This record gives sequence, structure tokens and C-alpha cells, in this order.
Amino acid sequence: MNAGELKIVFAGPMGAGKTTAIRALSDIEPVSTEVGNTDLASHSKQLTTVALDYGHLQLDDGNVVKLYGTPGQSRFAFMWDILCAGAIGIVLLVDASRDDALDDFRAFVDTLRRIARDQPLIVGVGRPTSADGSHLAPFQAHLASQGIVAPVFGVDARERADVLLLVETLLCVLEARVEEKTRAVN
Amino acid sequence: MSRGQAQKAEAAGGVVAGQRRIALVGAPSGAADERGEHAMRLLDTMLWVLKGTTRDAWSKAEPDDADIIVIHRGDEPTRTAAWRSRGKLIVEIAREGETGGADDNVLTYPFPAKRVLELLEKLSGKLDDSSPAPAVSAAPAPVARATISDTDRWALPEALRTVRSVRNDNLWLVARDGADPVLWLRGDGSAYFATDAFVRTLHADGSLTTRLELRDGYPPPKTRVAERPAGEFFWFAGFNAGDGLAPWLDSRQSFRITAWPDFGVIRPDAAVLRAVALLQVQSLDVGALAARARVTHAVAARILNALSLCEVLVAGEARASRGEARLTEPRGGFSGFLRRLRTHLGLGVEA
Repeated sequence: MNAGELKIVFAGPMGAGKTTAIRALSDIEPVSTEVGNTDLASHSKQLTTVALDYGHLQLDDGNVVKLYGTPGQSRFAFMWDILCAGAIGIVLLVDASRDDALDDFRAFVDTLRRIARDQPLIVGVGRPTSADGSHLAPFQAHLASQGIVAPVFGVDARERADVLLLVETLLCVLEARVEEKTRAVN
Repeated sequence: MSRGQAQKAEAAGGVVAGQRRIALVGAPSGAADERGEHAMRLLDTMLWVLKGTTRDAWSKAEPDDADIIVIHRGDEPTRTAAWRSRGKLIVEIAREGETGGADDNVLTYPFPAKRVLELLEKLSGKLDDSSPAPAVSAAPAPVARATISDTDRWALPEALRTVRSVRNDNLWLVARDGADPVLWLRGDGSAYFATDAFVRTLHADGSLTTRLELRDGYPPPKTRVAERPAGEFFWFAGFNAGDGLAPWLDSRQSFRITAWPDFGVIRPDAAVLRAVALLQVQSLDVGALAARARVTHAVAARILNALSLCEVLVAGEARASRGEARLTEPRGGFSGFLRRLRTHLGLGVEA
């Protein structure tokens, strides 16, 4: 991987659905470096990604969009810098049902602000804990407190339509930024 | 009067809350313009949404029976003078930019619910000073209602704005489609309850929210209906109210968003996503939004109305632009790349 490639990064803590989301989009069977989870105290899933997930989209004009999933555990945070550099956008997935979901979210946002400050950011919150949508509020509030305006949608990463909604929104934000930049130049 | 109201009133100054009557009087011979009539309907809505939050219980009445009479500024001086001579307090509805008036009992449109609340409390105090405390009425206040018709498309959005502004968690609002209750909205504007069939219709039928009749009511049944995020209902009520900008929005003003509605629930089409994304990045008026998002003026207005009702739209310039992301330029440029990527993902080609 390098900073000169077209890529969308799926970030988020362990179990948030990054591998599933990439599988929903990729033209190829995603390459996952999953191993047995030795941190069952943090999450009960049996397999987890230790380096990255990889998939891609091969467009008919020769462009290839690479899809990367970051490892979820914070001890692999050094990988995030490498993966996020030059990404056309970042989809941050969150599992709202986890006790430490907000702490995880804060940590990811803080890191992404540092390493990918200007890339479009889309947040997908899965496993809702309320029917009235109030489980989104703490995540929205944290973004607001950081002066960040970004979409925060309730989604189910197992549903392709939900993953597509996140990607479509990312493309719209990217398009809006490109248009703003073009107007500023002209 | 509820026990809570009485306790609140006693805590406020030892005065037991009473039943107050207020008359909303239309302009003579329909002299008020549409905006004036709209302002009066807004006040009507606020009166019932504020129920339970004021020291006194306010109910609507005819002018002869009322303690307070609300008129349009410029109403006939003779009848206004006659009401004053009988000890009735007069409140004027004025429009922005209008000046004058004998006292500060003026509501200048657009007025927030907080201003109405303050005025009602002040008027309660004046009535206490001018007459013996009224007897506590055991009779329930008449049910006030906001009815939606083709000519009153903004009543529901205005009612919802008031609900959000007041956040009265003692209240339940019930929406009816014809005679049948179909939706229950918490008075704090946080959630609504409806059947799955209603929610499907809400998403598919653009005229549904214009047919709904909303009134103060009772909690939802324990079965058949499910709790939903209120933002979903607010979005569709705003989006489907009409093709023009909402009365509280100014077409000369530029707008931007402070947050996104939960489109995971609302599921808008690509044009809406494109427009809202523009408002994340730039501050645009309705005409510029239509041009940049490649939608009609009517759709741009609907999007702004919906965002406003979801309380994520603010007027004013966009914040200072952030640094430029170092993005890899696709072969053939971004426009073609985005179009091909959408096609590849089956998202459809943009307009």
C-alpha cells in the first residue's frame, strides 16, 4: 500500500463490522488477516483482524479503489497512520452496544483528527441500544465538541444497503469538497 | 389544574394557579396578510404545546369571556379601546420591522416559544394585580387543536418546532389521519410511536404529513406500535410541507448544517445526500443550493425545510475552510471517477 493509491479506509474498534462491510463491497473475496481472538474480555468474537482487511473495486477505466480495514485493537494504532494517509475517505464504524463504545469512539476520532484531519469522515453506528435513536447522541455530541461536522448514521454493517449508504454519503462529501476547491481556484 | 402545576405555582410565589382565558382575534375583514394569519396560528399551537408548563392554565375563549385578547397590530381602534375599557389586556401580533405600540405586550413574528412563555407569565402577574385570584376551575381545559389542511401546510411543522422548543415531557401529542390515531409524539420531541405500516407510508407518501391532524392527547397503546426516532417524522413533515421555503426561513439567507440527520433511518435519495453534503462544506442560499446540487428550487427548499425542522440548519457563513486533504487524483479526474464508482457500486449515475 502507498499514499498514492485510491483507497477507502474502514476504521473502528474490534467487532464493529469492518470486515463485513468490506466483504459487502469488494469485487474480490476480501483478504483478511484474521486470527483467533485472545482478548475475549474485550469482545466475544472468535476471530479478529490483526493487521488489516483488504478488498478492492476494479473500475472499467482502470482505476482501482482499494478498501482497507484497520485492525481494531489500539495496540495496532501505528497501522492507522499508514492506512489512512491519502485515503479518499474514512468510514468509522462503532458498536453502540459496547460499554466502552464512546471511549473507543473518542480515541478513534482523536487519532483520525491527527492523521487524517482533512479526509471526509463518515460514522456508522451499529447495534443500537435505543429505539428512539438517542444512542447516536453521544457520538454526535463528541464530534460537535471537536468542531467536526460529519454524518453519523445508525446502520447495520451486515446489510449491503447500509454499507452503500455510508459509501454514497462519503462520495457526496468528497464531491462537495472537490467542487468547493474547484470554485476557490476559479 | 394538576397537582404539579399547583405546586409549581406555589413555589413560584404562593399564588395558586388559575384558569386563564385568551382570545385570538383575526383581523377585521381578513385585513391581515398570510404571514399575519400564520403568526396567529403559531401562537394557537404554542398555547397547547405549552400546556402544563405555565403557572396558570390557559384556554381559548371568545373575546367577551377572555382575560387576554390577542389582535393583529393595526386592528380597529374602536373595538380595541372597548376591550381595554372592560379591563381586558391586549396583546398585539406585529411583524418584524413594525414599531410602536402602547406597551410591551407585543409578539413580533417570528417569535420563539420562550417569548410566548415569558409573556404569558407576565400577563398572569398583571391579572393577579388587577383582580382577585380567579377560582380554580375543576373543568378540563377545552381541547385545543391544530388542523392541517391544504391551505395550512405549515401548521404541522410549526407545531413540531414548538414541541422541540418547549420540550414538555408531560405532554403526549397524537396525530390522526382522518378519525384514526396513527402516531404518538412525546412532548419533548424525542421519539414517536407508530405502526410499521404508518412508517412505510410516511416514507412513500409525500402527502401523508399534510393530512395529519395533531392534537394534545395520551400515551401510545402498549401493542401494535413501535418507538421510532422523532427526527424521522420531523424530516418528512418538513420535506413534504410544501415547495417553498418555510415561513421562518429567509430566501436571501445562506445556510449550512451543524450535523447530519440520521439518514440511516430516513434513507433519502442521492440528490438529497448531495445537497446536504454541500451544506456541510459551504454556506448556500436556496438558489445556490439548487444550482450546485442540480436539483429544482422546490427540492432545495424542501431539503432546507427538513433540515431546519431537524434542528441541524443554521444561517450564516461557513466556518473557515479546513486544510486541504492530500488526495490522490484519480486517472481522468474526480468527476468521472465518482460517476464510474457510483455506477460500479450500483448507486446509479448522478443527475
